[in-house]
Amino acid sequence: MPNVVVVNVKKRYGEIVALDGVNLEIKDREYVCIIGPSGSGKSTLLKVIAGILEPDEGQVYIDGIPVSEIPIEERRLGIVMQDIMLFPHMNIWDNVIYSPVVKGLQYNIVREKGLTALSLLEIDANLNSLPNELSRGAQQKVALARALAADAKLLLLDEPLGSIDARTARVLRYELRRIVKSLGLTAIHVTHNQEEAMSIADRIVIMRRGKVEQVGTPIELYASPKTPFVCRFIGGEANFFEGTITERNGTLATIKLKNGTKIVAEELRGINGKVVVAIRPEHISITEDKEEMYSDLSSENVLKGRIIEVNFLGSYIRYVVDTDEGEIIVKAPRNAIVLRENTPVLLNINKAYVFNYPEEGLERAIAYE
Amino acid sequence: MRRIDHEILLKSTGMAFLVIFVFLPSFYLLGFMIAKWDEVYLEVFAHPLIGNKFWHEILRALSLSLRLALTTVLIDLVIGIPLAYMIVKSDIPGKSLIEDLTTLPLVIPTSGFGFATMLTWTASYGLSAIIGRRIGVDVIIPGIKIPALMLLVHVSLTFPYVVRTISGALRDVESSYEIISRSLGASSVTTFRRVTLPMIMPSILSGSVLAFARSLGETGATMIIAGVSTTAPIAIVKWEFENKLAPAAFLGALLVGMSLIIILPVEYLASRSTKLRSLVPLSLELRMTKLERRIPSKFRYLRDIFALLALTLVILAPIATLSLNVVLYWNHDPYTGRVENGVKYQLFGPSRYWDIILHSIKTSFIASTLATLISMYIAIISLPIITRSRIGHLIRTILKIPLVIPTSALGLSMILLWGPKGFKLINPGIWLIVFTHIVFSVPVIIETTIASYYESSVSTYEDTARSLGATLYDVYETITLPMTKRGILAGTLLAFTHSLGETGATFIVMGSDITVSTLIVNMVEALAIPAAMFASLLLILISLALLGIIRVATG
Repeated sequence: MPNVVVVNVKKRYGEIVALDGVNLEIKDREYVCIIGPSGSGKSTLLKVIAGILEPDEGQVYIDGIPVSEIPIEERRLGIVMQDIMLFPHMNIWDNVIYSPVVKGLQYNIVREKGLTALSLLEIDANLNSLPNELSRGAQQKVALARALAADAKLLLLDEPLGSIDARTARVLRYELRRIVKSLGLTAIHVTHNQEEAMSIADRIVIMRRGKVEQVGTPIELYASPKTPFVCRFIGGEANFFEGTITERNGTLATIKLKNGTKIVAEELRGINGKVVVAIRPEHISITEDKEEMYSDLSSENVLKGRIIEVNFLGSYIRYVVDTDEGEIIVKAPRNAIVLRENTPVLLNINKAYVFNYPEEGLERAIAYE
Repeated sequence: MRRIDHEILLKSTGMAFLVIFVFLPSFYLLGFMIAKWDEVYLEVFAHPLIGNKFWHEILRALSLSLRLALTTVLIDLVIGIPLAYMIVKSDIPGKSLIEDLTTLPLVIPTSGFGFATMLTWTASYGLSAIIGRRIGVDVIIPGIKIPALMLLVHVSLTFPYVVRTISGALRDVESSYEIISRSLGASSVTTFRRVTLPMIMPSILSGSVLAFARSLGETGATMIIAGVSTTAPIAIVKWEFENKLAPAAFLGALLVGMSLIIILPVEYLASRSTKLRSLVPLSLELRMTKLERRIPSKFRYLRDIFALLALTLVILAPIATLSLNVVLYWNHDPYTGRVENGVKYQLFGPSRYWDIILHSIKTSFIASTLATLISMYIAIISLPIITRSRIGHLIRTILKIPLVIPTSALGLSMILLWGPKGFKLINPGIWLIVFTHIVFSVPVIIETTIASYYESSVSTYEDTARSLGATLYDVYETITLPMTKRGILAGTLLAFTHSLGETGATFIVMGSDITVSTLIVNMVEALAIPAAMFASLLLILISLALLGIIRVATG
């Protein structure tokens, strides 16, 4: 049963460091997503795990055996790529039964494996058609069926839904998870789509500049991001501010932002001095400021501003509010009263994350690169 | 309205040039045949004195040519596929050098290369000395009745076409397909047979057809090593010189027709993807894969060694032998010690071959420069009609034909069309050489230009420029030409080397303006072997220099 251990893997392409000391452990039957911006090394990591690329340093173990010691045809990997890579000259059926055939299995077993794989993915296309006669989504299903008919125990998925239209991709990703779980497979799924990763992964690995930034369940990553980057990458937009811790009361720290706003937030790491404060748009409540009803701005976690943009996004409303501390994005539930542009408002901050001020500066620390 | 007129004017000029300079000479023999059928029939089939003697000779020559071409292609594939595989997939050092070596026979004048091959297998200082047996012009392979030397020469002159097309296709096959096949449990041999091979099949087919057509029409090198065997192109040359035009034209037309019949369907097949159902029944397939799994991975090294050995035998050995012999024979014949059989004496002695060689090189360069420059202009003018009209694809296909027409048939066609036996516009000599070389230079330049045109999707940029208000001329000047510049340059240089080395057609149309490649044929026939050795080596060195220039110019 496959568990995958990546030990201190480094990979360089000339001057570019693609992987810079990656350590990772993936348990048997786990569905793990690797996400990160382009160039973060996520695809390279997958290729190293597959044994297609040899790392400059470090080693990958599948079930305790170094991957380089197993010939690729015996690793029982199911590789599925963004470019789908069905053999273009073979029809659907020949693609699906390719692995049992090349392994020289008996005819009835070949047939049975092919039919099982097809029914698992509910493929109803004409088996005589060539891959390019099918839609991208249907092609990718066939590619998955081909991997399953090969008795793959470890699925390596490199942006498998990246070239498929958004609607089909959304359906297919749940199907993917269901199959992996029902067959008891291990899956490593590389994607740049954080929403895709959040919705199907047991655990998510966030990569940045060739390093693992944080590993955790989707909820862990959302609720307690370790760095400003993770906070921005998981959960969509976030508001970032620079500030200084001025006071401490147990686990509560009071932070003074640039223009004097005071934020009180839970801070367990014992940080002091200059910090970064991140506030998710959904953790801010917005109310109309009816004629100085609330003029006492010395109180904490409150900001005064004026709406400069309103976007209706279906399940919620997104506001951009101009405040003393700069523009702030706020998400309000749809059932709230819709406020109009230019309305003076009060913002109440319900939750804020506090991070040590990064050496590279805030701008660089949250850049998508 | 005016803009459309310009467009029509530009396209019809391009078309007119193509028709007059390329298509007309290519197909003239077919028309000539039909127009003068009565005359031809009388000469070939019902001659009052000799009956259908010519018909029998034609059949004999054609039969030899076909056997030869078929065998050549088979051997080409056997050595070409491993070689292409090694060039693309393996990581042995000096790969790019090997690739360059493979293209050598395409740039070396065929007569020089044919002569070098003959030396290798017949001379006292060659491979024949090592293996202890001379393979002279009289050694016939039993069973298929092909002169062995002829087969060797044809293989070395045609296998580069197979290697080039197949290695190009192999590069296009994404390695991901092979990785996935391996990860699904297939051994490397099974992966090659079931995934890679079917994907490169169209290229194998078109490479083979090209090699077949080249072998069918090969004249220059064959003339040198023919001995008493007469292939179809040799028969045409012979009859043309004996002024037996009817049988020569008839045989030429047959060769042109055969080239057409072979190349058109393959071009059609290669342009569309076909459903290739596996022909192997599943039960056999299962047994084959089991067998293939047992082939050890060391097999790979055997493949590379085999490919290198083949390369050495057909390319390196002739060049090395030639160089060695020029050195050995420089002062005198190393056997008899006779000074008059030394290279130096022949070059600078009373026969003054040095002056003749220099003069012929001058003729060659003038003719080739004129031919390629004119061809370049024709190619540039006819680019719009190929890329921007509905008949473009058809024209592109027809343009493949001048590349496979037997060169001696082309020479004959030129004589009958423009020369003293036709419209009497141009007499045999340097201008007829120029016009003959234009026929095959234009397609070479157009093909490389079009390739780079599609590679960088120039048409998208052209459309964008048009939508921004540029006229056809503006687009052509600011988008098309700059973007395809490299292709035009590469094609022109390639055409120049082709032109410099062309022997078969030139031999017929040159009159008294002897080019250096045809001079070698004359020298061999005059038994001035040391002088021929020197001229061949000189030609090979010039070609190597040109190859270097091409590499630098095209990056």
